[in-house]
Amino acid sequence: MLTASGLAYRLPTGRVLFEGVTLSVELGQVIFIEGPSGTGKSTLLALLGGVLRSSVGDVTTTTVHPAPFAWVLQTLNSLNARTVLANAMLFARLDGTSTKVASGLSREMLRLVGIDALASARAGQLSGGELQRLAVVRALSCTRPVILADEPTNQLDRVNARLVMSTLVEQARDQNRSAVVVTHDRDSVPSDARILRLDESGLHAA
Amino acid sequence: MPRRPRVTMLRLAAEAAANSFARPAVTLGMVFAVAAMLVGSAVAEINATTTIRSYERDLIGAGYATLLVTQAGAGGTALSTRTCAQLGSIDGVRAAVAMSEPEPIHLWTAGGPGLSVRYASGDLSEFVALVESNALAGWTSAQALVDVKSGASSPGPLEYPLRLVDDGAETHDVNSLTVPLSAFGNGLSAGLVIWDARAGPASACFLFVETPRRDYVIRSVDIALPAIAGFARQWVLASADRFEAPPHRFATRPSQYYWAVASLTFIALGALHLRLRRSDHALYAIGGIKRRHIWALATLELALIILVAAMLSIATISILGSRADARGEELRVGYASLARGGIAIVGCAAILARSQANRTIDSTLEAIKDR
Repeated sequence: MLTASGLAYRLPTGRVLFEGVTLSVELGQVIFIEGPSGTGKSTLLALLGGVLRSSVGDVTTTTVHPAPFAWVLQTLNSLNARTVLANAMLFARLDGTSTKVASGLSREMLRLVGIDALASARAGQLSGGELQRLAVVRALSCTRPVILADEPTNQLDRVNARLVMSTLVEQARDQNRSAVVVTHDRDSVPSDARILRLDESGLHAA
Repeated sequence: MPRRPRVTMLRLAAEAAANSFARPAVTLGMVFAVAAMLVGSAVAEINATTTIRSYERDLIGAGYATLLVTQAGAGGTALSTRTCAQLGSIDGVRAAVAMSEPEPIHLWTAGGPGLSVRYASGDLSEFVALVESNALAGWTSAQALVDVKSGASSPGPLEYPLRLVDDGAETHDVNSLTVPLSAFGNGLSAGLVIWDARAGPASACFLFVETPRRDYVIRSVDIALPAIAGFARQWVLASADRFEAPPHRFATRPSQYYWAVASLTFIALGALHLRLRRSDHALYAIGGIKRRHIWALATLELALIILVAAMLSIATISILGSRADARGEELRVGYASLARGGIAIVGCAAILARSQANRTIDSTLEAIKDR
């Protein structure tokens, strides 16, 4: 379980980006966060994932996993010289999962998002949309208890966006993992999803 | 039960190897660049050492290491083969040769070409070998050593018979070998020396002196055979002390610092390489691996390049050395430079990798955007 209480973040300029953010995500639960550009959604994810530190508030996880967060980055980072499969297995391999198990799971996830035919291609040859799906696969192919996804469908067409988002939600639920997804793409969000809106005063039900 | 470490060095090494093999052009480019720097500094050292050794051999061949002791006037003690042998026991004297006055002699017949001959005893073969190590390779039983500039010399390395006729018309058949005798001075240039083991008076004593012991040997000779007793000594090479001493020349050769230049160049190259790897390392950081593991990963990626470059450099130096017939000592100097450069470059790689790890972990968000 991921819990945040009273989180605030002040920019180097002194402006308060947000404050009083309180959040609790159970295992198997997926929460969507939306809000206008510049309100600090990505920053909130960075605070939740420990990449940024906040002087106010706490973030706790109940897991003993040494690396609890599986990231889907907005910047579509990948090891461009390595194969798509190697990229998909990266988090799982870092967690100590055997190559055979990681490879099997990654191939299955690649199939679910429709890029299994590209498994042997170099990641540097992929389009933006394919890289985005690869980032989702990388997060789904490991066993880390918390998925943090930053706009995982912003490079995708509507059909693929729905496919990827539904795969993300279903796999998180099936694997009993928590997920926090930042998105502007309301169309791709499942109708039964819990959606929160971020503004300066914190998170509110949308 | 303690949890097994999640990220092992073996796993990081596998990642480093996979990352390196996945970018063959960059990896090979780095390998060749590092190898070129290491080989360059090693070859410069070998060349400098070869040049200095050649300079040293030329000086010694011209009499730089030869101290000539003579007796100009009559004194209480006469210079003899025994006195010369005693001088040979001075610390720093590698060989001592006593010689008689030069005498005229003719080749083949009494009317044949004239030569200057001296009879020598003592460490004659050692002396010649110290000047030119290969000079006596063909020696088995030669009684006469003929200077290479003499009309009686042979172009081949083997012994050959010579008939000599002295002023008394007495004929001497000797087995001869051609060697350079220039280290004994102008008196023996184009002349010949006949081995004579008999003890007796000598007109000159030639001492082969180790360069670092020159002053000590001169002082010792001055004490043993003082000028007041009519003895004189001088270096065979005129003004020998004005020449730069080979050890000093070796100690001040610029090429001994080329490994440091190679290391500094590697810092620029390595920093550029790691700059291009920053977003990849940021992906590992966002994947949860710790600062020390990023450090290890970046170090391993560079170490792999350095390892292959070092192996390539060693192979190149070995091949170049064997083709150029370089001596063991000169190759050792080259390998020492290579080892210094390799160790320094590994150190630089570790420092650069540490800096990379710090920047990646401390500014992960910036690093992941650095694509």
